[in-house]
Amino acid sequence: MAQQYIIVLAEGTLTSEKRAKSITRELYNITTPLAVQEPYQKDGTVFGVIVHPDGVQHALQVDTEYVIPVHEQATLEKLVSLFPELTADERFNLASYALNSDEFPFAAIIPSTTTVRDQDYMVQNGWFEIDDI
Amino acid sequence: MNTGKAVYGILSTNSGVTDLVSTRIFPEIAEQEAATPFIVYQLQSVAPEDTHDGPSKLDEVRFEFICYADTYDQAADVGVKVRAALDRVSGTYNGVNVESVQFNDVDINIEYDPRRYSQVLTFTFRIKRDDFTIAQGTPVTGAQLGQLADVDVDGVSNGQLIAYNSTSGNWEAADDATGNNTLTGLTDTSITTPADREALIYDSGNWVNDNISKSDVGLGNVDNTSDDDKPVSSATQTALNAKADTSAVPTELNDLSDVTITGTPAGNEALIFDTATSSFKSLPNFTNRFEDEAENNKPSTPFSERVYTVKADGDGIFIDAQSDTPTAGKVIQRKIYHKAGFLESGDAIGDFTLIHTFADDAAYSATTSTFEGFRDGDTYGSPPFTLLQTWEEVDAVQLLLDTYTGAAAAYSLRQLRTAYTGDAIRVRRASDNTEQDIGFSAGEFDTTSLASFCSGTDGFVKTWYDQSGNTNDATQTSTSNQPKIYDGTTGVTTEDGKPAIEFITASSTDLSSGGSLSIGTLFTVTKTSAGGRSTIVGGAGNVFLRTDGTVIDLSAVSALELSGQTIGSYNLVYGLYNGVNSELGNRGGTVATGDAGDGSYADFHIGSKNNQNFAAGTMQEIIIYTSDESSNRTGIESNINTFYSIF
Repeated sequence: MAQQYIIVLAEGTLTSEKRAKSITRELYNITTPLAVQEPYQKDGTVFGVIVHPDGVQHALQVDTEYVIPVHEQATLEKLVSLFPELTADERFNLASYALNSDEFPFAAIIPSTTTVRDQDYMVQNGWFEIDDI
Repeated sequence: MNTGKAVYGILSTNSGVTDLVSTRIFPEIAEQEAATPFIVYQLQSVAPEDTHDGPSKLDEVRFEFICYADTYDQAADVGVKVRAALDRVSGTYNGVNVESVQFNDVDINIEYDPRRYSQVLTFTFRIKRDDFTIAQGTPVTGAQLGQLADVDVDGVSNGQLIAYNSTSGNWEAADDATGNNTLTGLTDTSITTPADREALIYDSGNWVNDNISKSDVGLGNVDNTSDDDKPVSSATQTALNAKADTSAVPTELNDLSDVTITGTPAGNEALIFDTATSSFKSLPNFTNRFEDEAENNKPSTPFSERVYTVKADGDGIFIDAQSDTPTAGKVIQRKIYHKAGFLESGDAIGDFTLIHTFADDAAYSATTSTFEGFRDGDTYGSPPFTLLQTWEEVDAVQLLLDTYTGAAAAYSLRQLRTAYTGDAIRVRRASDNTEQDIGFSAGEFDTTSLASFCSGTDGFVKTWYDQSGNTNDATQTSTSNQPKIYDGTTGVTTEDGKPAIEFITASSTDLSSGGSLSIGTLFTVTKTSAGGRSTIVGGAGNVFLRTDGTVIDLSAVSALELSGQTIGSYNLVYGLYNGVNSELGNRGGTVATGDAGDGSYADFHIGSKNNQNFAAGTMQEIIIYTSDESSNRTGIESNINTFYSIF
C-alpha cells in the first residue's frame, strides 16, 4: 500500500500547521495520556507532518491501518475539538467509538468530511517535487 | 490587830463565797446601799495566851460574820459558804500567820426596813506572833537590808552585788564592781576604729585589729582559682603525657582496622582472614572449613580466581584475585560458573554452567558484588552448590571500527567498536508508548532484553544510535513512522537469523539524524522486500542510495546504477562518492563506476528521501565514512559478511 496523506485545513483560529500538529499529538495521547507520560513522551506524535512548498499547507502522513491502543485514562475531548466542522453527533460517535475499544485502526475515526490522499495526488498538487532520476 | 486582813484574804479568794457576794465583804459595817447579799465581819474580842518570859506569841481572836440577804435561804447559803471557807484553815494570809480557825456558833435574824435576813456566824482565830510581829507590830513592814546586823551595805553602787565575807562574817559589797567592760580598755590591746571583717591579731605584745592576709595564715602560695580551672602540677602533667588517649585505643575487636564484623555476630562465629579484602571478617565457624578442597579441587583451566563451595558440613573459600591489567593485545575475561553440588576432585569447567560474563577487562573489585549476589541469592545459592569465578586473558576482539577507524556514522544491530559503551537502539513498545534502550550482549544485539521489554506487543525503533562517536543518532518521533523491530506475536524481526529493522513503505517509516552528512564511502546491509523506489539512505534533493529491487542507484547528481539485482536478495552494498570515479558494488562483487558526484547529504535520512521513496525491507547495518575507503572495501565487507553471511 502506498503512502497516504490527509491535508489539514485551517479552521477558525487554528492554522493548518497548528491543527495538524495538534491532531497527531492528541492521537498519541490516546495511548499515553498526559497524566501518565514520562518526560521523553512529552513530544510524542503518531503521524508525521509534512509541509507544502508554499509553506502554508500542512498534511498528516498517515497510515490508515495504524492501530492506536486506548489507555483507560484517555479522553478525546481535545481531539474532537480539533474537528469543529463535524456535527455534535459525529463528534460524540467518534469519541464513543474510540473510548469503547481497547484499540482501533486509525481509519475507524477518520471523519466523513476528511479525504485521504495518495502519493500521486500529493505530487500532482505540488506537495513533492517530481523525482527526476 | 491585823487578823481582819487574814479574814478578808481568805474570804475574798474563796470562790464559793465570791460566787454569792462578789467583793461585797466589809469590815465592821457595810457600804451604804450595798447590794445583797453581802458579808460584814466584826472583831468581837482578842485574848492573848500569856507567857512568863515575854510577850504573848498566840492570840485567840473572835470574829462575828453577819451574812445579809433578802431571803432566808440566801442568807443561809452565804453562811454555809463562809463556814466552809474559814473552818479549820491554817496558814499565812496577807502576812498574818493563822494557826487555826474554829467555828463557834451561828444564829439568824430578821431585820425590817428594809426586810432582810442575816445569819450570824462566830469564829475563833488562833494567830501566831513571831519576833518581828511582836517588835514591829503585825506584820513587819519598812525594814531594809542594811538594818540587819550581819549586812554592811556601805558604798554599794547601782548594780553592785554583795557577797559574804567570811573574815568579817558579814554580807558586804563585792570587790571591783567597776572593772573594764570593753575590749579597748584592756591594757594589752591597741585597737583603732575597726572596719567590718577585721580580726584581732597579736602583734609584738599587743592585740591589734587588721585585715588578715593569706600569708598571715600560712597560705601565701594559694590563689583564688576555681576547682574547674586549677592547673595540674608539672609532675602530674608529665605523668599524664605518658598515658595513652583512651578514646583512641581500640576497645573492641571491630575497632581494629583489619577487622570487619558485620552486624551482631551469631554464636560460634569465627574470625576468618579474607584475602579479597585483606581483612578479618566474622563468619560462622564452618566458614572455609573446606578451604583446601576449594583450592585443590577447582578446575585447572581456565584459572579460578574465586571459588565458593558449600555443603551441609561447611564451606570452602578460595580467593586469588588476578591482575586487572591485560597484556598488550589481550583482554581479561571474568566469568561466573555454577554447579549444584560441592566441589569434587576432578571437576572440570565443563561440569559447570556459565551464569554470568563480565564486560571485558572488568576489574576484580567490580565483580565481587555480582558473585556474592549469586552466592546469597535463591537461584544459585541453595546448598550444596559451587560458584567459580574464572579469569583468563584472550586475544582482544577487533571489532570492525577498531580496525577500520574514522567512520562518520555507524548504525548496526551488532557492536562495531569496542570502545562504544552505548546502546544499539531505543525501542518504543506499541501498547503504552513506553521506551527503553536496548544494547548488546557479548557484542550482539540483546534480543533477550528486547523480548522482555516488548513481550506481547509490537516494538518499534525510535532511535538507531550512531556508534561512531559522532552522535549522528537517527530518530523518528512519530510513532506510525517508526520502523519495526519486534512483533508481539512472532518476536524479534530478523533477517537470516540476525535481528533486523523492518521498514514499511505504507507506514512512511524512516529515521533522521536531523543534520547533514558528507558521505565518501558507505556500506549497507539490507534486504529489499518489494519493488518501487526504496531508499536506503537519502538526503535533500536527489541524493540517495536506493533500489527498486532489481537496480541499485547511487546518486548525488546523476544515477550510478548497478542492475541485475533481485528483489528479496540479501545485499551488502558498497558505495563510493568520488565524482566521476564513483563506485557502486553489491555482495562483494562487480563494481559499477561512473559519476555519482559527491555525497553531500543535507537532511540525512535512513529509509527515505524528501519524505518520499520510503524503504521496503530490512536493514541491519549502515556504515558511513567521509573518506575514500575503497582500499578497505574487501576488509570491511569481509568483516560484515563474516557476521551476516550475506554472500
